[in-house]
Amino acid sequence: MLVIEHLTKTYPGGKTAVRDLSITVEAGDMFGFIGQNGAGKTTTIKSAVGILPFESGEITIHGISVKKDPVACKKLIAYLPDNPDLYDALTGIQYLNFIADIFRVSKEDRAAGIAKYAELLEMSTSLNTPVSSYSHGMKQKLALISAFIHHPKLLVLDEPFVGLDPKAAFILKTIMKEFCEQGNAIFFSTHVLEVAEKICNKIAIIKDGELIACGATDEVRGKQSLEEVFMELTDHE
Amino acid sequence: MSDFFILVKNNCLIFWGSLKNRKKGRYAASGALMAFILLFVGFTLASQSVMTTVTLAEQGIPQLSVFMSLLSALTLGILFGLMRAANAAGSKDAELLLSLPVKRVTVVCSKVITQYIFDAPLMIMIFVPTVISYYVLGGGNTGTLIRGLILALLLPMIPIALSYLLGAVLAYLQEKFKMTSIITTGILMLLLVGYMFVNFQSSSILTGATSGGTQNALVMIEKFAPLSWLTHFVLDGSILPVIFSLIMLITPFYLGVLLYASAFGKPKSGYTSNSRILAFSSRSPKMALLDKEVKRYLACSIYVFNTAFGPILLIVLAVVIAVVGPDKILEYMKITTEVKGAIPRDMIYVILAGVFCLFPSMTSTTASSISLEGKQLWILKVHPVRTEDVFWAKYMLNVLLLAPVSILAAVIIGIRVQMPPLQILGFALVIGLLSVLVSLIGLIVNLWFPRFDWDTETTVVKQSMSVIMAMVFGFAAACIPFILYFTLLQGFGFMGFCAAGIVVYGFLAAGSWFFLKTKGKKIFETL
Repeated sequence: MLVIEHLTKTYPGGKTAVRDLSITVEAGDMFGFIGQNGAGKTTTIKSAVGILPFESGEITIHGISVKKDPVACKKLIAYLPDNPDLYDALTGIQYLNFIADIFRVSKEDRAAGIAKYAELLEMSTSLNTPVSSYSHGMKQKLALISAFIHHPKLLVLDEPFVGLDPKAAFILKTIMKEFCEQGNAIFFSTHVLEVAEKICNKIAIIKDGELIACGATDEVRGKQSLEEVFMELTDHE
Repeated sequence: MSDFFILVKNNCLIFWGSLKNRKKGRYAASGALMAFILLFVGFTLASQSVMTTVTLAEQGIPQLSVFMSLLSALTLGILFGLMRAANAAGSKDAELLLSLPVKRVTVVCSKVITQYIFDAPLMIMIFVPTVISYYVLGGGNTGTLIRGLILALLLPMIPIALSYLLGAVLAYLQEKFKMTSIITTGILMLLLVGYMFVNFQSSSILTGATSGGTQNALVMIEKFAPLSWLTHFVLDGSILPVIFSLIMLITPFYLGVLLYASAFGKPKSGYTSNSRILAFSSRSPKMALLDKEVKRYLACSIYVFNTAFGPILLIVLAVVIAVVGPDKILEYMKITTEVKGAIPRDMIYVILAGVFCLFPSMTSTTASSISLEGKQLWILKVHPVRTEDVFWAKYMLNVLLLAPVSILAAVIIGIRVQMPPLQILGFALVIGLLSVLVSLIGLIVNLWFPRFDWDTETTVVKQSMSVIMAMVFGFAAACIPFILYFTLLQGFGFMGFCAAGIVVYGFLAAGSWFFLKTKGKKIFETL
């Protein structure tokens, strides 16, 4: 589904944020991507979804190169940033209509999708309100609805649980599980190790731009908790 | 250092940092250009003030120079205040500042003083040279000099008061109504048009006053209260004008600051709706992008305010000329029948077309449209839209805003001055193509000088390098056929001008679009 091969990303200032990173996310995978602040998680994610250009390596989604055909890749994915800044000038429904238009979702499909996810995330009564008056959590929920309404094959989420209330976080976890069970895949970063340990079948740990562990969750953690493994790996110089 | 000065210093550092933190080469050159423009404007304003004093002193009415300089300074100040009003209530860093161990009053005062620091220089540059030249050339004494300098320091309180008071009213409306930005823009437009009308009227009265002799001029000043109070504050320091002036300056300022302080840090409560009835619309991706651009445009009062005024003035000018007739306009411009008769008809058409081309040349929504994406740029980058379509939506907004109005104005004028149909068509094509070119130039300039770290939209729409550069390039583009006509093509008449315009603008527009599709696309992808 998502194949990242030997990705290296250096910023104009000369800082190499990600070095020779390779990850493979397969259909049905719930792939957790963990690391300390500044480790290179967001850079990797932004490169994978076509926001950031990268110097070397290759990223493909469903076999299509992000570099060569970014538009085709983007049609298959939905991305949710850690801090979803949405168009303040639009109402919630106008924003969802905009995203649905971009993905050419039919009127009937979008109505059904929006109704389903808005109800689940308790946003039905807020969609006629301008985004400018939404809280961080509401923006997060709106971005989530927009991510699901066009039936993506791959979800790329950057810290999806930040800002969500406990109920919304629980609902999101349920939706994520269902999504993967349908043969789709999720690649997401998180600082909440308990969540990663609980719901991910695969995990990768990144430190200073390099992958220091990657594989099935059980293999990565062994007999320890994920938190212990993470602390051990990231503390080790 | 006291908390107050630390905060003021921090506000200035933030402003300076936002200018400094850029790619070096490109921004050093543009920074130098900006500094040059500021110096040029400052020098022009100051020398104009001195020249006016000299001229009026020669006519024996130097007192009028103080009055006129006050009028100019206040014109600019009120314009500042009006333009800032839409974003005056609130501050993005209010929560952070209020969480610090600093008194609320100190935080608010630091914000007000920072605003004063940004407003004062231009007003001072207009008024202080007049005060000094009046002291030197107009028979002023030390008292007038001191009072003048004091008033120069107090004048910037007016735009601050206006922006805070109006900002409070607009913030109240924003809580109560849905179409807030349109209401805000409408109110600001009305105020500006009303203000321009009053200003125009007062200028005509003043022109009459100066031609009517010393006594007449001084009597006229009295009719312009409260401006006359401020004038007397400087000229003679009589007790009543001084008291009235101080009340006029301090009361609205005090009320404005009070309102600003009470709103500072309070969460902005916008319009909310609990309706479950959802409207589902379906469009092509391109049209969805254009629709988003239109909504974004209408939602930002300062954006509309800054860019819709040109097209409105253009159509108003065309209608006025159509109704009043070109002869009246020439009469008003004091162009005599003999002079008019000596100018070939085609040349009059070219001058007219040149004047009309200036309006679209300086109206560009595209010059700030990429910067205005701000932190939401990720939405365009992560979704499956072609960069060309993003560009298309952005420049199409400007074309829709400019081209129909410009072409309509050209047709109205063409018919009114009895141009042959082919010349009307040529004129309409020139101004229409210029609108397209200006839209494309704005986009290219904004790609070169994007600014995403803005706090308020005003920063991008009014104070960004890309907007200034787009205006300069637009103005230059408008001049090209004009220059070509006067240097090479006079023998071909008005059609020569039109042909030059069509070829040059068509060629430049095609080149600009090619640039956007190739290099521009790459630049956008790296933003």
